[in-house]
Formats: sequence, structure tokens, C-alpha cells
Amino acid sequence: MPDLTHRSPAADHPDPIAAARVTVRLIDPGRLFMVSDGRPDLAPNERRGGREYWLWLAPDRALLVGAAAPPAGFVSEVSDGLATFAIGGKLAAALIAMGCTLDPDGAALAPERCAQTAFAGVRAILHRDGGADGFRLFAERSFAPWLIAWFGQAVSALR
Amino acid sequence: MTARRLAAGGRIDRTRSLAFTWDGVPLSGFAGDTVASALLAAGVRVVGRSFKYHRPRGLFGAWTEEPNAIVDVTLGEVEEPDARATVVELCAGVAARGVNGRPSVARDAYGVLDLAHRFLPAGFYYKTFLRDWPRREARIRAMAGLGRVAGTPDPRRFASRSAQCDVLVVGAGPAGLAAARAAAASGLSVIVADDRFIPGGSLHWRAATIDEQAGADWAAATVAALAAQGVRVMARTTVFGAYDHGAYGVLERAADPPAGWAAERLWTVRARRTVLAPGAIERPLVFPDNDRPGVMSADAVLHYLRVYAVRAGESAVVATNNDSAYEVALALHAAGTAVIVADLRPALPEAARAATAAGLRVMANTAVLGTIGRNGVRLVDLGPPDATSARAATMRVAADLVAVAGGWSPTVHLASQSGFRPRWDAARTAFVADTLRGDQHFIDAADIAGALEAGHAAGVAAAGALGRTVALAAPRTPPPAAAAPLRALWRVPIRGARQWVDLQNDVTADDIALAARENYASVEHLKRYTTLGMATDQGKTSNVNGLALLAEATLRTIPEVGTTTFRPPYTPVTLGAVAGLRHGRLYAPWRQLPAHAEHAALAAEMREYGGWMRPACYRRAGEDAAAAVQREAAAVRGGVGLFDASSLGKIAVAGPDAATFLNLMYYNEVATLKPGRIRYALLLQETGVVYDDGVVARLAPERYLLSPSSSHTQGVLAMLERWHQTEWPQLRVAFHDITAAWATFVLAGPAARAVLAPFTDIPLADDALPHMAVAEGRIRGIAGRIARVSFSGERSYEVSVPAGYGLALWQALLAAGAPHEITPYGVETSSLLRAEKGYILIGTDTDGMTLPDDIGMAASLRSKSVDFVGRRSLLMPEARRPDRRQFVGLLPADPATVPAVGAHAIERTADGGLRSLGWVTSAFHSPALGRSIALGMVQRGRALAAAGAVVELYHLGRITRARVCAPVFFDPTGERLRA
Repeated sequence: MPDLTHRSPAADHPDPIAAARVTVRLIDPGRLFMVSDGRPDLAPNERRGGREYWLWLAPDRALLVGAAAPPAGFVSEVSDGLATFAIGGKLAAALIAMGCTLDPDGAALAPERCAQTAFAGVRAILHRDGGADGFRLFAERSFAPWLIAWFGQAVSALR
Repeated sequence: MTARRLAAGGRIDRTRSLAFTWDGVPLSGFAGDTVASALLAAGVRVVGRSFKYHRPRGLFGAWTEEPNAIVDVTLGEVEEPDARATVVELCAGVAARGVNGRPSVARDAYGVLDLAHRFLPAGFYYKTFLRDWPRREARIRAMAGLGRVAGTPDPRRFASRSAQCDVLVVGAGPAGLAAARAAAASGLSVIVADDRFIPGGSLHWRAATIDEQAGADWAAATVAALAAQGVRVMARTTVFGAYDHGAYGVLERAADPPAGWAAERLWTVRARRTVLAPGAIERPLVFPDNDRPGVMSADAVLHYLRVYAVRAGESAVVATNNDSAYEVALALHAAGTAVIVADLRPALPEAARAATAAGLRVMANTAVLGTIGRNGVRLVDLGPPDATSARAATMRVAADLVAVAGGWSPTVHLASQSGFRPRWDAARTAFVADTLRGDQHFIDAADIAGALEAGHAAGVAAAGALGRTVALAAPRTPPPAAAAPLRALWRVPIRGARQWVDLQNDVTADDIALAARENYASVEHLKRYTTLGMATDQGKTSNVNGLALLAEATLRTIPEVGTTTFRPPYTPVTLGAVAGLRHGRLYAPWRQLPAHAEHAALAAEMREYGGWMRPACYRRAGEDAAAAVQREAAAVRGGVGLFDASSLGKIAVAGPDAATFLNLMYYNEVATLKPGRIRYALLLQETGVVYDDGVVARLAPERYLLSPSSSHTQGVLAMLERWHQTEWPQLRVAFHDITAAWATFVLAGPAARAVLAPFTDIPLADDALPHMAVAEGRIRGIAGRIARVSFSGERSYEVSVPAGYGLALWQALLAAGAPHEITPYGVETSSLLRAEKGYILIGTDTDGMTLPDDIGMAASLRSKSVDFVGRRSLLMPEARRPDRRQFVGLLPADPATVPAVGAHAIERTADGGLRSLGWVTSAFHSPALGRSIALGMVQRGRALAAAGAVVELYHLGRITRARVCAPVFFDPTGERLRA
């Protein structure tokens, strides 16, 4: 019997959603682990690390992004559970302000922070990424088609 | 160029002429006009018909305060009903129509209604149609209401946006700009919102010199300086509502929206401090026939003259009770209009001196006692303000314009919306907002000097409240001349003639007196009874006059009467803007299964279940949904079916105290569960009501996997977190929602094992993996899991792999099952299969009253030795009532008829009536039994089932019969699960 083919949201949607001065693309952030009882001692909404980094999600719950192997503790791999969007461009902040009520320039989205919010009606984890104009958004994989449809309309409204 | 349009001046662009139509008649205006200013320039007098009496009405105001000029506007495919002509910017090709007139507002057939006005007083409908309202309603509703809603979808899309700032300044007149300037100088982030086309407010039509510049120039320079500091200055933007925690509803109307997008964009702005600088609205004077076209607010007349270069009349009476009208009189005179000033005050004020010097006739102690003219003012009667009869008029003058200045009402709407009652200031004869929410500053000023001073002070105060200082002086302006006091005269004491208070809602001074006589003495009752200050107008011009007249009629003071609560929105908000992107495909979020593309390829009928798009069934050519469900169900029982259960919740629970914690949460005993085994369990609310059911799998001694129902996963996770964090934080346990990370497919039917066996290294023999067991292993080389649970009553395997492999596994299982004629089946089929087995569906068969015993699960309460959520409630008398509704099966007497879900099981009462015993919760035609079956909740149902009782089922007047039985129709011993 042949092996099963793996599909990722990023591979299924290789084309970016783009308009003038804003681009949204699905990316592959590497392996994702939800971790309890073994994570570093993060402050609420803290983001810590470099290429491999931690996001605080809840008391005793964190998301480890881009790790090569599972860390110690109570670990659930959610690599296939989340779709990851990279949002960039001069109007990226305006797009964020269309999708949620967080201040793109405020403390909640400062470089060393991450936020959990309803974005376009969907639970999402959001943080700044890749310089001043970049954001990264994680949402459940099942919502990826919804978010693609939403982004597709929203980017054309930006001004 | 019309006679009304001046050759020079104003903020219009005379090089850009714009053609438009009014009630089908071609007209033209200029860029920079509103529909109203273009109509005024074209000499159109009647712009609307009044709401109740269909009286001809003309323009009264020049901006949002306009009560009369309600128009339907069409531009291309876009139709906007009930717009105010005074705020609609003129553009080429606009078609505007007056509302409430047939065939037009100029020649309205319903105008005859006005002749019957004596029989249509306040409360007419309540009194006249008390008994036969239902019979009359349709005809009255057809006549009532304003405007016409387009029957076609709006082709535009609407965006919305959120924003945050330190200081939100509402209004960009002199006060708002002074406040913004100060706040921005302190380094705070500032947003300024102003509803007009350009910032500056009254500086565009009231003369002022600020910092040695003309007022309008100062405004432009200030706006440019603010923008350079990063302040967002939003023109054409209305702050329409004040909400909790510094949130404001803000409607922007962009001058140049992106293609396909509407001009309107709804903003939610959250501000730490807010400066309310909305300005003031001029009040009308109340005198007989003061609603005739040609009676206009004096300030609006000046606005039309200086902003749009339109003279509102050839000869004018300027009627005033205060000094602010003299600038209007002089400007009209300079523009070539013949002007007479009628001042209510007994002696001429200092402000009259310039008018007299210019050669104007100025009369003290003079009121307008009436107007004459069929479709607009032609003659004006003047006389003493204390006249009790129209015959007391001392003078009749020919005039086509009566510019009325009745004093100023500060726009307190937003402050009032924030929950504070405005206070009556007798010296200003106005309601002012000086009691405010802690984060608001309200600017109330009598003149531009006061506005600049108070605005600057508010900006400094807002900055100070946020710990900043302002090193900037207030803008300077020459000190104003001392103003003489206003003379309040709430109506002319002439009886009999109608004197209008609320032009939009057709309320007269006599209506208010009548309401008072009928003891509607509370201001809130007055509002409902007469409709004063209701609807889109929200009393902008009528509020103070109405309250003052109520005070007079009830021998009270205005503060004793008080004011009604102003409600958002301040001006109407387009429904499309409220919806934003949430319409059509983006109406509400939907979720797709990992194998969605495969379901689509199989032409599955996709429906939404708890936010998930799932196959209801897979219809074949020539088959309807009901037939597909029957076919799929039979295929599962006869061979093997494949079901996508990926939406089923998956919550991983781990920790040394996982067993202890879950045992406290679940109704059923789950701590004794052996690793590798599964148990069906209920989760209760504190009230004992069944919240969710699902299976609990123990993967390892300290590791569980819960499967809540698809739509309850988030709720169950929140419940676990809440109880852990608040009640048992000492227990070491954690929860991960991993639902979306996995794809789960169910193979069900006698041939299920044969299809699955080649896929996995997990032993599938019944002694290795019996019913209600779980094992982790490899599925086609991928780390996965197989759980042997069944919601169909058949041998059944739930196969889970990481979601990325879901699509491929679905394809592979279908291919491998082909020799067994494997049949994909949907949610509706699954629901039928479980109904044949009598498995409950939470929320379908149960409701917010259902306790475990009601669905036949009393054992845990008796046997479980530890406490659990909801236990106490199950020991209360209500939970032990013998006549509770219980879950039963129902076998219809006619096996070919499927009873309606919701049909009531009834009994006959002694007096011949019907009494409900409960109702049908699920009903199907069962292919396995070849007959109809139903499930229901029926009082004392188990006793009825034991007795084999027959009950009557009542539905929409029809009665059928059914035998009550145990809630399991197929394979009651469960042999097929294990066989």
C-alpha cells in the first residue's frame, strides 16, 4: 500500500493574498507543540525565543513554535492543528485593526508579547513578526478556508 | 446660475457643475453643494411632507439637525432611503426624491389629511383604534412610515475597523481643534472626528479672527499642523454613540472609498479620555404656522449663504430672541436680501446698533404672529409677543423667508448616552452636560472666544489626567462684545392656531397641552404619547421647546420636568455599515473538515452543524436527501460505512491528578477506568442538568482523551479550566484542545474490521481491542489511534491520524472498502442510526431541564462514592419528582407516518381540554425496522413504556397515536456491537 500524503494549509494555498501594500500568506512555521508542566516560566502573554520560540497561552499552557523535537512535560503536538498566516506590508496594521479590536501599535502586540483574540470572528493567537510591518497569526486549521475568504475581501478595503 | 446663487463666495467649485434630478426634474448644482443647498439655490421650496398631516415642508436646517428634508437618494445601483438632504453631498447623476408624498411632495394627494387635523390629535391612534386595531393595522401601516427601501441587494461591501487613542476629540469646530491642539502638544495619541465635509465647524460661516487669521484659515492651518504631528483628523465622520469603557461608535463616510466598497465605514474607537466638542443646535421659535416652507433656522440661513453662496430668500424677516441673529441679518442684507428684524426682547440690544446703522429696520418687542402662503411663506404677520389673537398683528409684511433664532441647545447627546442627565442652566436657557463620566470633558461655550478657551482647557485637562503637561498657549481671539440676555418665549399665547414644536414628528404646542391635560405629565410619557423627540431626529431642534411647554402646562419648572434620555445613534447609521463584512459567505465563521475536498468531490450535501460544514448525506443522481439517508443507513447495517467524525471534540487531559480531577467533573465514575479502555460519561452543570455527553478514553494512567460533542468542545474546555482554576487549583492536571490537529473517521458495519485490518499494526482481534477499548499505533505508518466505540450500534472503529493525513486516509479507506461496497454516510444518517439504537443526542433529545435519571442514567448517583459537579442538585426534591419527563421510544400506530418533531404527547383533562405530557424529540423512518420510529420526553414515560401504553400525539391540530416503549428499537442486546 502506498504511503499517505501529507497536506498542510500552506501547501494547499501557496498563492499569497495581496493588495497594494499588504500581503497575507500561509506559511509553515515548523512543528508546533502545546506544552504544560514543563514549559519555561513565562509571564502572561509573553513571547520568548528566537527561531524556536514560546508563546504563553494560559496558566500552565504554552505553545512552542518551530521546535525540532517535543520538549519535556505534558506535550501535545498540534503541528497539523493550526494554520499560520504571515501578514506584512505597510497596511498590515490596518488589516489587523479590521479583524480584531487590539491596537496593532499597542502594548498587546509589542515585540516580546503575544495575544489571544477573536480575529474575524475566530479564535487566534497573534504576535508581531519580521520587523515593524509584520504580524503572525495562528488559527485552528479548520478555520483556514474561512480566514482566506475573509482576508481576500478585507485586503481590498484597505486604504 | 439662479437668482438665489451668489456670483462669488462660498466653498463651492463653480467650475464643476453637477446635474441631478429632484422628483424626476433635472436640476444642477456645483461640486461642494449638498442636495439641500442645490435645491435651495434652484428655488425648490417644498422638500418633504410632514409625517402625520402631510403638510408641505421646506428646509429648516443646514446639517444633521434638519427635521424636514428626508429624501430617498439613488446613485447608480445604490439606493439610500431616508437620507437628510442637508448632509448628502451632491454628485453628478444623483436622483433625489422627497418622501411621504404621492405622486410627489409638491403635489401630495394625502395633503387632504391636514384638513382633518382637528380629528387627529395626539394619541389619535390609541384612542380610535383601541378595539379594532388588528383590522385597521394593514391599511394604516401602508400609509405610515417614511421612505422606500430598495428591493435589490446593495452591491457595495462595507468595511469596519477598530482604533485606539489616548484622547478622542468629538467635533472639529473651534473648541475641538483647540482641545486637539493642546492634547497633541502633550505627546498623546489623538483622534479628531467631525461629521462635516471639512473641519472647522462654524468657523466656515461665523466670522472670527483667531491668532490673527480668519477663522477658516486658522482651522485649516491647525488641521495641517495636527496631521503633521500624527493626529488622525477624520472629516465626514460622526461619533454616533457613546458606550462603556470609553468605546465610541464612529461612522466614517469616505470621500473616495476603494472600488466596490461603500463610503460608510464603521469604527469602534476606544479612548482613554474624550473631549466632547459637538457644538450647539439653534432652536426654532414657536409661533402660528411656523412650519411653512421658508421658515428656517437663522444659523442655517447664514450657513447656506457663506458655505454654499445661496440666499435663502429675496425678502426676509429675521425673528430672534437673542443676539446671534444680528450677524445673519447683516449678512443677508449685504447679499441683497431685504431684511426686517423682529426682536422679542422689550428693548433693542447693543448688537442691534450695527444693523440699524446699516439701514435695516429693527423692531423690539416684536414676535411673528403668523405666516401666510400655500406652499411657502408669502406674508408674515408681526405684533406684540403677548398677543392672544392673530388680530393683534400690527404689521403684515411680504417676505419669502423667516429666519428664526430661538437660542442654542448644546448637543448633549453623547454625554446623555453615557448615562448622565443634562442639567438645566437657566442663565443660558439650555440643558448643559456638566455632570460627566470620569473620562469625558464636555465643552459648552456661548461664543467662539469661549469655545477656544474651554477647548484648550479641556485638552490640557485630558492631558493632565493622563499625566502629561501642555506647553502651549490657548489660541487668541479678540474679546467678544457683551451679549444681552435671551428672552425665552416658548410659544405665542394665541389659541387655536397650530404652533409646531417637533417638525419631524408633527407635534404642536397644543398636542403637548393636550397630553398634559390627559395627565401624561412625565416627560417620558409625553414622548411616547405625542412622539415628541423620537425617531431619527432625537429631538435635535424640538427637545427644549417641548419640555418648556410641558413645564408651563403642568405649572412646573423645566428642571422639574427634566429631559428624556437621548439614545444612540445620534444620526442614522446604515445597516450595511453595522453588518460590515458579515454578510453572504462571510456572514458567520464556518469550519471545514480536513477531507472537505473529498466530500465536495462526492457531491455531499454540506450543511452547517455547530459551525462546522459537514456532509448531511451523499446524494446520488436522482436521489433526494431522505432517500440518500435511507440508503446510507441500510448500507452501514448491511456492510460498511465511512463517516467523517473529525469535528468531534478532542481534549487531551494529563497530569498526576488527572483521574481525580475528571472524577470530580464527570457524573460517571472515570477514575477506575483501566488504561486502554473507554467509558461513556455525562458532564452535568451545577444544576444537575446534562450539559454534554461523550466518551472518556484513558490512554495511560495519567493521560486521558475526552471526546465532547462537536459544538460543545469549547464549552467543555472552559468548564474544565474554570473548575480547575477556581475550585481545585491544587490538583496537577492540564488540558489541551487538540480537536483541529486530528482527522477522525468512523468505519461502521459488519465489514468494518475487514476494511481496516490492512491499514494498521494495532491488533484488531476482539480480545485485543474489544468494544470500548482504545489503542495507539501506526495507521499506514503514521502515528495514530483507533478507538472502538459505536454511535450506530454496529461494530465500529474510530480511526484518528494527524489532520494533514486526513484527506489521504479518507481516499485510501474508500478505495480499500470498494470490494465491500463501502458507503460514505453523513450526519443525518448517523442521527438515524443512533435513533434506531435509542442513543440520545444532547440538545436534541435533551434540553435545559434534563437530568441524568430522566434519560435512564440513575446508576452513577447511587453507586459513585465521590462528589461530582451537579450531585447536590440531583438530591433536591425537584430532581426526585415522580412525574418528571422521561426518555422513551414511541412507535406510531401508523408505521408509514413519521410524527413531527415537537409534536406533543397529550392527555385529556376533565374539562375536555388537552394537557401536554411531553413531546417528540427525534423521529425517522427506520430502514432496519421498515417503519417509523420516534424518541421523546414524556411524563412518567418509563411507567407508560412498561405498561405498553398508547398516547395521543398532537401536532398543528392533528392527533395521531403511538405506543410508548423503551428507547431502543434495534438490537436491544447489543450483539452487533461485539459480533
